[in-house]
Amino acid sequence: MNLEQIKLNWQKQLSSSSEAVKPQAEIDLAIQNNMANNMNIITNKMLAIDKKAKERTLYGIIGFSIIICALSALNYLMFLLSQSMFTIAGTTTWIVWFVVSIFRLVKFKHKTHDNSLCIKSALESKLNKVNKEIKYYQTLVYWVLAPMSVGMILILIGSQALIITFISFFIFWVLGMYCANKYNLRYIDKSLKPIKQEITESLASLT
Amino acid sequence: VQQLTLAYQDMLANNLNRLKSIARSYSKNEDREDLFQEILYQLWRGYQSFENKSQLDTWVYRVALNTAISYVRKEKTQPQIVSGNNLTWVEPHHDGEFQDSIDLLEKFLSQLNKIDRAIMMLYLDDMKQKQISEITGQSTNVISVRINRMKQKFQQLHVE
Repeated sequence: MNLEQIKLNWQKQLSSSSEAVKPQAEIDLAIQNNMANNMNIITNKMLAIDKKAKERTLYGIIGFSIIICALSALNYLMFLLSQSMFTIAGTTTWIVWFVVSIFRLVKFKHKTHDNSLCIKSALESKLNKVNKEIKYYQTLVYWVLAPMSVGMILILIGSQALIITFISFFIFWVLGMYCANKYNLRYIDKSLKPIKQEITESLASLT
Repeated sequence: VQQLTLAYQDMLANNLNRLKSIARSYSKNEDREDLFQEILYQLWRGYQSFENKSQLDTWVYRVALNTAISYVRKEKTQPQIVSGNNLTWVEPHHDGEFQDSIDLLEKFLSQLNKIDRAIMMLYLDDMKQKQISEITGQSTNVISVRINRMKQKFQQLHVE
């Protein structure tokens, strides 16, 4: 067999009506059945993905809101107890950073990837996106939770909280940051790094 | 939406075997259906904003190959949508020498890296070098050199 003959066979296989191999009616029926199935599956898949994404967003919003509301209420209580410079500075830090975090989270979530670019550009763009995602998850704890914790510490100092309250809060906060960071790093190792490796290898073989 | 769905179905009907070939070449048995569905989903997503700036065939190849090349098997945490009936995947089978030649090519493709595999598949589908260049983002000279190297490799390995 020479390559040109094999190439022709390949093209016959690719054409949707491989009449040389099967009767046309059978092919048409198979395609029709397959098409109907495919459309059902795609529609179901899209609905399922949309539903899952909405659920995740909803749970995220609810969880985040509960934590923020509880902490904000605590801050407000502290602020009422003592309206010192520290509590004012702490509350301001807390509010500003809360708004900045929401803005950055929303901005990050809106970035999508274009699959219709040429392979080289798509790989470069995907690698760029994955690198940004890795950086984002690696530093999320530091730029969201750390500044907020500074705000809370200032509030606690200003409200002259009991040392036991201060220590309890500190332990609770550090533990929370540690768990969140570990979860993010695990996600990077399990999901993002394999993708990065695939893309890097493909890009290397392009050059 | 109905018009879009019909146009999408039409596009799919014309490219179904191409897409299956890509999914077959870029995944292992247990992942084929996953990758195939991912390609269909990406095409559906992209088709809604397809603006005829490039040829449809070129666009389909771009989306499908981009999806396949960076495909990494996901953990099975996603909802099970296909209920184990293997609904989408019907393995094409032909008889005798015809099937042997396809098997031979698929074996050869599996030995290539992902980019060369894409170029070879486009070449086998009789795409012009200019089109291959548009799809991959490499110059026609580079494409030409790579195709010649692969042809030589194929001759050395498989042609008596």
